[in-house]
Amino acid sequence: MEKYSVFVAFAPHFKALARVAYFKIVSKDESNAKRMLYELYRFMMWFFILLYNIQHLIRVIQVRHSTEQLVDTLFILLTTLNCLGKQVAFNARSGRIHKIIETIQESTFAPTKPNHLDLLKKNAVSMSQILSFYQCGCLTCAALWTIFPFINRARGREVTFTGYLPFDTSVTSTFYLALAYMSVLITIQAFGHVTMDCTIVAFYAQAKVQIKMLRYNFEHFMDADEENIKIDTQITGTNYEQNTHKVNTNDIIIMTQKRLTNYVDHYEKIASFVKEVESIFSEAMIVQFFAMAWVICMTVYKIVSLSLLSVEFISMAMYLGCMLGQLFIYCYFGTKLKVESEFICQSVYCGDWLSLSPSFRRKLLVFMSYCSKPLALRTAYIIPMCLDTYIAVLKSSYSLFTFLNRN
Amino acid sequence: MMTKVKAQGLVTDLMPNIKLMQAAGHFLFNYHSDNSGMSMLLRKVYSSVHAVLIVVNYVCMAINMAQYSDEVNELTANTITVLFFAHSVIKLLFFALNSKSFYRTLAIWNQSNSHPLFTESDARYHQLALTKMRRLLYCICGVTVLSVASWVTLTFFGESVRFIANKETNETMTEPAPRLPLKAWYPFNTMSGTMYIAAFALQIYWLLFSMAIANLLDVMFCSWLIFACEQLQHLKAIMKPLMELSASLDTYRPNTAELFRASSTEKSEKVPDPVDLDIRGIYSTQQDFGITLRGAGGKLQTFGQPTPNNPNGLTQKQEMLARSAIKYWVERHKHVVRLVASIGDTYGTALLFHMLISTITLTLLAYQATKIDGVNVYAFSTLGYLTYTLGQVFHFCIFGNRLIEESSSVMEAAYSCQWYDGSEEAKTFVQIVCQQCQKAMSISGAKFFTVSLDLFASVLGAVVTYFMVLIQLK
Repeated sequence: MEKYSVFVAFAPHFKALARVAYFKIVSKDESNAKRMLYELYRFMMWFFILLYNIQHLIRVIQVRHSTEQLVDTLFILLTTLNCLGKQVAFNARSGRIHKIIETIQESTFAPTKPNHLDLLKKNAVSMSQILSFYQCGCLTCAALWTIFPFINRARGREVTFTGYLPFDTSVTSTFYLALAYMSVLITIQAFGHVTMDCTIVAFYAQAKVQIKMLRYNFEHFMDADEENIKIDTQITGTNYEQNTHKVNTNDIIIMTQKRLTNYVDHYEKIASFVKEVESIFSEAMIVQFFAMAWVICMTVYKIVSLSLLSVEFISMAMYLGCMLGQLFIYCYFGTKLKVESEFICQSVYCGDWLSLSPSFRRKLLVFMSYCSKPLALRTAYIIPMCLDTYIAVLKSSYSLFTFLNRN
Repeated sequence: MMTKVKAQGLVTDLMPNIKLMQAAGHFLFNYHSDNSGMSMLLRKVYSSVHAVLIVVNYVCMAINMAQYSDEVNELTANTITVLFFAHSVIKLLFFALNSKSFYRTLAIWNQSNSHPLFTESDARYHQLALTKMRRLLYCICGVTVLSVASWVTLTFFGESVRFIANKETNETMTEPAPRLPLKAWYPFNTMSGTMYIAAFALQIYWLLFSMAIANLLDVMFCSWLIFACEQLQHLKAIMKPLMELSASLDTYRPNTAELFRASSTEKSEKVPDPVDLDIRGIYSTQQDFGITLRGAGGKLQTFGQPTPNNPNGLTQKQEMLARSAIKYWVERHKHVVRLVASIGDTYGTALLFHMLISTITLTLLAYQATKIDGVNVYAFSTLGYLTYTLGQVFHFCIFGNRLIEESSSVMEAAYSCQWYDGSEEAKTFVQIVCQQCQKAMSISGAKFFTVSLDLFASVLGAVVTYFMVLIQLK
């Protein structure tokens, strides 16, 4: 069996995060100079992002009487606050994140059978595909967001920036400077945001794959593997040959006991991994949920007053689509994890427990009772992160839209 | 790759359904008795022609909808019709793309285990399943034909007009339209004459075949569920005799030769165990077993001379019998679990699309229903659409619900037999079965929802709520 590192599924995510100075896995063999340079880079990033957010906050206070401009600024501010929340989680809890990365690379999570290898490889491929898809999407949106002021200015319309700027932007040189500054920052934040989302989702997906591996192990609980061929060949005779019988029973008991211990241990590690990931990002998820609820209300409120097929409508609809797409991956992978963990009990059942003694069956039963509680992720302890929540969000926004439309 | 001609298992049971689906134009090319190149080509051409006609007419209807989209009432009515027939197009495409997984599900029950003690019960429940499946097929076919007939009849009542919005005065005017069952754009003039008759005939054919395509696939899904439910009933029925049989099995003796089998390939079917085959050779009738299945446990024990190596007093044959009966039960249950998982994987996405489109259709229908002002063609057509759509949702919700109930009631059957008299083996068997049955087997629509009567109730509730709100707002 080839050596396969489980961390391969996360490699593109952490590489991208390091590129935008959001999070970096420090390797031991880096020179001091490089590290200093990177720390400087990180400091600059933090400075500019905070500056960007403060500028928008100032503008919100400035335009608090004009609903139109307030809504425009709030769109950007809420999204960047959402992103900031996750960035804070990644940086303030970097120690815990390092620890769970170490857990992933331990031997408990490593593949031991060819089927495991297939599952892990497939997972790595799909994670990198999702990351590329979302990164492309966010870069497209950022590009469009940059182009719109250009077009508007070319058409002669007045362009107001959503952030507070201490100088006048109607002069061409300052306009381009301000545009460049705003677009670069929003692109970086969008990129970082999307990568962080995909990283968190990759953690959930890894837990799901580990459960799939555990289920496979249980379904083939009584199968021979390489170490046990020796025992197998010694089993000759029928039930009633006492000589071979005594020797082999002990070996079998030891082996099944060892397997059960390993698998129970595996499940424990997966459950604690899921709990840890949930707790690391719990505040960030709460911020995300509130920001998203607010943005959906505002978008729906704005869309109602716009006519179909205008540029504004399309950009609003696209923005709403991005928000819903972001929530979708969380809910989808949360549901997948929950559904997979509900089937562990069935996998134990589908293994060959009929060949086991009643006393061993009771051990399996204890495990089955424990596994009947699924690994469900929750935001703020009350909102389950599953597709039911997503459908409820969609239904409520549609009801809101219909209600506002009638009025 | 075409599979073998010999029909067995689920395929035999569902053969009328399969034949009807082939006739309606689904891309179902297996299960024919003659697989020569020429006839295969003919069948492919047949299905493609049907597919092309159905899609082309659907596109014509969509063009008509886009043409007359100014007036709200006309647009709503056309949207409802287009969404209504979206089911057929989607199901046709879905089957064509997913036919492999349909074949896999149909092939799951090709080889099933058997036990001489339980063949009679097995046959009885199988026959029950068959009767129910046939009855469902006839019922749905009847409903389809009736719907088409009533649609065509309704065409001849009322004014044959369409609504146009007058741009200057902003009023709605009526403009004469061809008296056809469906409003569609045709490149030729269909107001009267031979083209009118041709269009009418085409539309009757189209109505019949597109409804048949959608309904027959749903019937296949529900037939699978009926089969799974009857298997669960069979397992519940044999639980009591099984417990009585195994009550005397006191000491556990591991069947060491069985313990370490090399892992078989994932999706291969269960080959009947050598142990089962031995029993079939040894015993021919129930009398040979020398026991009665009624009465208290322990009947297997012979209290005469204790056989050596056998502390519970059973002969080797009797012990093997009791153990094999439990094995039969567990293997059959696992087979049902595999079948249900495969059904869910195959049809889940189709159910998701169905529910998505039905939700939008029902919302629009609730709006339409608020405009009913008397017993006229409009009322009948709106109520007809409403009943049909709700009926489709109800159809698969009720069978999904039955599956959930059957699978969780296995636990009650296990509890209701005299498990306390049983051996350690029998008791742990009951325990593990109860633990497994706490999670009911259900079909989910690609993990978005579970197919049960709760789903139907929520859909119906939403429609009624929406209708009430709209009536109030008027």
